[in-house]
Amino acid sequence: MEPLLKINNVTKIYGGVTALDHVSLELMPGEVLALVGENGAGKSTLIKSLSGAVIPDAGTIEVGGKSFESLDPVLSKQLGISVVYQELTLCPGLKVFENIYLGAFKGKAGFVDNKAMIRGAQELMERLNIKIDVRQQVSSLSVAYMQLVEIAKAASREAKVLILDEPTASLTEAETELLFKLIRTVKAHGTAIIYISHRMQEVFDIGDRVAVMRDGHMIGVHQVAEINEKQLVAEMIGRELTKDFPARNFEVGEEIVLKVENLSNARVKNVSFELHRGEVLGLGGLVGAGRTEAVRSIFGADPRTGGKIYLEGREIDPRSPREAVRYGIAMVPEDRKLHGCILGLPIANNVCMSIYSKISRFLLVNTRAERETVDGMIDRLKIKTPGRRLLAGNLSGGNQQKVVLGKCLAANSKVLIFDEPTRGIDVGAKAEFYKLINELAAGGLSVIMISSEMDELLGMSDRIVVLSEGQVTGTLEKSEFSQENVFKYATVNL
Amino acid sequence: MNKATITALTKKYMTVIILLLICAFFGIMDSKFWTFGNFISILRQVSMLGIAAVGMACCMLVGDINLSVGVLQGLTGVICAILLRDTGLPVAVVFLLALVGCTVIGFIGAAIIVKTGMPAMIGSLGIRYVVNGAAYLIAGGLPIYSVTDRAKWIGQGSVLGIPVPVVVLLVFFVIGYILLNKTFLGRHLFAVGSNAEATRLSGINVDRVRIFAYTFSCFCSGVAGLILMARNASGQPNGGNGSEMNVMTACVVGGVSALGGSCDPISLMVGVLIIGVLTNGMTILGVSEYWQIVCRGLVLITAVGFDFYNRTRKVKVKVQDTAPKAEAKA
Repeated sequence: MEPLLKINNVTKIYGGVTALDHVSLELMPGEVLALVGENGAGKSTLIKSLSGAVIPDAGTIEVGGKSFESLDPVLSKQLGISVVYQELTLCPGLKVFENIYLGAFKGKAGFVDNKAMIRGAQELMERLNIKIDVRQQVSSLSVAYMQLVEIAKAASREAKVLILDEPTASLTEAETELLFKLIRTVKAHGTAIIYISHRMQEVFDIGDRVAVMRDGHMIGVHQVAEINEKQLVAEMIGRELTKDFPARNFEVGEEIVLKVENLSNARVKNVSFELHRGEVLGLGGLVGAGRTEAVRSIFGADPRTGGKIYLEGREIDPRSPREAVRYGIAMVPEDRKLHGCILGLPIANNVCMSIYSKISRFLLVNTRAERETVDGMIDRLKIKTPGRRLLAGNLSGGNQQKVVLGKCLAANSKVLIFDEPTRGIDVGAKAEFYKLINELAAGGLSVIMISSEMDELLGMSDRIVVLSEGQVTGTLEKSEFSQENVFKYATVNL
Repeated sequence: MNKATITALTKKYMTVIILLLICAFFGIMDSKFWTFGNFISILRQVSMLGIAAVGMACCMLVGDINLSVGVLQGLTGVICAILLRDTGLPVAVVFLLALVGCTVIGFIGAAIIVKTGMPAMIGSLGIRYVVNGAAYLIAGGLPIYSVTDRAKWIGQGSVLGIPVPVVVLLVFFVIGYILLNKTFLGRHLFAVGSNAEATRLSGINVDRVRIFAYTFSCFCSGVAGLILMARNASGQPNGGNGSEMNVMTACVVGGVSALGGSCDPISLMVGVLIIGVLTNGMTILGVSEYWQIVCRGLVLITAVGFDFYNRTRKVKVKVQDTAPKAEAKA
């Protein structure tokens, strides 16, 4: 049998970071290929090369006997490649049948033929065994049914290759079963499916073959029947730590700076941990485990539904980031460009942002204090810039991140929360940033660090708290640090 | 000087260049244009527009829009005229009371808009109707001709040969300049307009900043309302009605971004002057009122069109060179 899709030596490099390194893969008609790998293994980049969102630097993609150096979104659709993303792309304000026919409405002279579309959509749903009223508004459906509709839509367009990106992330068990039934139906029609999931059990339930990616490489492709879970996990994480991390010499002292007890919100449940003075506490887990949501609640950025927070022994109740900053908690958010730096403002305004009301008298900003604070930070954090008036948007990623850090330090924080501190910054800047974090911790600051990069998490933390599905599933002391242990706890509730 | 700096400079002083070109054009067409008297008269004509524009600029800077700045001028005038007629209070006290009233109305509106989270444009549209209706009700639907000579001073008097409205206008530009460049409130206004969420995560009360901006814009239009009343020598319930559109035009032509985050008081002044000079020059040349309206629209479309065309082009380039980086870790 001829493969439907052939990926040959596809390589993609992003400014020094190799996201895909000569990746090859074949996809047979009517099979479910599970694609697994840690965060950052290159799964998303591979999918995006197929959907046309990413243009590979080298290699070819063969579809239906034709070879392409790169695809674009329109071409990809025409070739029958359909991706169902986690964030769904249906129009919630339209009805189910309208969504199915979106872009290919049936009708004459600008008038839509609703009857024909409803009939067509109903037939499609019957063929796929989905019980649904196609006249329902999409916004009234559950996430699971939206997903089914999305897959049905792809099927209606004669999709040859269907790519599902963590489709079960927000589904219950019963809903997952529904989805699996649909996948089997679609598969029986000859459609090939690439199925991305973090849940090992699903790989074995629905997959025919499984492909493992790690650090941009295709590590291996196996028949699901010929491999077990343990071997699979070993392949996913089996790599040596590559980067050198500056040595941390920290002894857990008596003094607890921050204590979180049974913190709960919409996404996390009963999260508890303690943070000591001068400690770097790592928060590990898979993407979506609730780490960001937990720290955002501590920082007052999202509402809490329960739990207590103690700062230096005193109970605090930060209801807004403003209050948290006053207590001495600061956060370097995950999305630097959206939540951290204000790119359209000068470095000076960014750094002094939190303290303007403090360095002003009768409304007027004390420009000398402003100047001294900013120049001090530029000096201390070694921000590479011709001057303090430069717009933050003109800095490199690493230096922008330093500006955000400078803002937190200017506010005289005791607790610093880093959410993916080195995301999107290059290797040299990373090393510098690690050194900075160490210096700050040595100076008595307490640090919470969320990181999805395993080596960073293991290399920088003094202790690691691992979350899974919104709950703390394990706490690792330095002696217990290993990729296997983090991974084990990170997948506990899945 | 290389090409890039010239382009950057041209872009920065674009509004100034346009203003000078317009002035030169009118100067060549008619010698009456380039006289001190005419210059002062232009300033007097734009005084209310300019004062209201300072407030509106702050509001637009944080990404909001206040459609009630026009009708508030009418309401302030009516309140003022009635107080002058029915109470024997000194003019200064009456002015103060009218301004306080206008500011309180602005504050209430701002609180409703910000706390409910509705778009400011829609919220202020509603407030616009309420204020407009209230002005008619209070005035009984008719202008109130009871403005004392002393009260007329603010619109018709002069200081050292310079009309009072022009002095007030200059004072407000200085206030605007200091507010935006020297105070922490100004820094917060820029920050909220550039990126409200990042500002919130920096520990700033974004709601409060937005409420201030909106309230300040109402206060400014109240001051404009006093001048309007004094120049008309009466409190007109429909006074200022529709002028919010001119105010927005002046702001946008003056480089205030309709998306928030950028505003330069000097450019704003230039924007106000462009509107004023166009009106004045075309009137001198005898261009019909209707053609003037058409021209104002064309100027607005050109200014905003340029701004957005540049912006979207820049964004496209940006997406290409930054998207991959963000994605590398995805």
